[in-house]
Amino acid sequence: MAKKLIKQKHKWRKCPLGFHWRNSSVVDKHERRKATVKEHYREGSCVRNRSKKDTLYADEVYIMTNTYFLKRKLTISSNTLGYKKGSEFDNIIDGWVTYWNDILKPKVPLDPDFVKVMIATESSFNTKSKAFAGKRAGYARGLMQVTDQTLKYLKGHKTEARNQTIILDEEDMNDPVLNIAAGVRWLYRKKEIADSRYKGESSWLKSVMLYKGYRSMNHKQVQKFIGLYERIKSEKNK
Amino acid sequence: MKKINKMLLMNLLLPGIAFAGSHFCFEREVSIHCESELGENYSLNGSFVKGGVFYEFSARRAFPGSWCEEAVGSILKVMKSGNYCMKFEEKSVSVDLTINAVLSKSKKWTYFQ
Repeated sequence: MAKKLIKQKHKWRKCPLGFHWRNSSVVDKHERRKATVKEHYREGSCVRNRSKKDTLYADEVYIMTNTYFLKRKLTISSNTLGYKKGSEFDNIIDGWVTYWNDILKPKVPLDPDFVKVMIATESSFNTKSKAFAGKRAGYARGLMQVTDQTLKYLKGHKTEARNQTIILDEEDMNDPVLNIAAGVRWLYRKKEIADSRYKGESSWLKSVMLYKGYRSMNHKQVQKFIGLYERIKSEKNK
Repeated sequence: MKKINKMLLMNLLLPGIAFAGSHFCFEREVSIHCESELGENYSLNGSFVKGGVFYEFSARRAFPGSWCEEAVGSILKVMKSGNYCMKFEEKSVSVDLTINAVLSKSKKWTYFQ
């Protein structure tokens, strides 16, 4: 099926470019083109993307995480930053940062420790955290506090996520795997915006400021982020 | 003495008594305001003096102005409803704090729902 035409995008992806993975499932009886389709079992398979973009769905996000991320040698620090669950998501963070670094190839790769500090400052590692973010943005959810509005952009609305889209729902954001996959992708989008805003290659810290909505590097919350990141780095080198 | 007992009692009765970080209790309003940030975002910031120490606090993230106005409005209602406590993310050794909640006996505001 289309193997000759389209090569695989990334070694961890299950399907070739232009397709996404759909898990096996039982399909309920339904009507299709004036005919009744009986209840049946459907094998997992690669399905063509309607958008023709490189699209990730929850099924493939889980497969990639379970197949590759749990066995990898990690570059992320095991530092908990004093949080009970501070190193619980290390494999997931490291895996998704590596994946998006491979796909989007920034001049300066994103450091997984940066994402760990993001999670510490956004949700204190609470997977179920939910904060009201305003009428338009909806709620900020989960580890990386991904907003409902962000999820729409990641689906390709207004072409924010360009050619790499992620189709996930609000409830998915309570799941650490799906949340980190989406949150890290969004941080890269912020990097693109920061690069264009600051005319050139901006720093990842600028992306964090865009993500958090803060204007000045001197704001206490930005300083808190910098302090935690410096702490993780200094303790890693000991 | 009566006042001290009242504060102690309130600390015991407040919901979510298992404070992860630090908390401070007050009888009067403390300074709180919104500040313009990137785009249409506003940050929630404030300060107070306790035990001769000047503390500043802010929310984790800046959100649209309507969010900040609503948050400040709700927090002021809690502050005006009587004795209240503010919960912060960090332990009390820090003077730069991240606000998590403001609670009185009858009203509350929380950053997380």
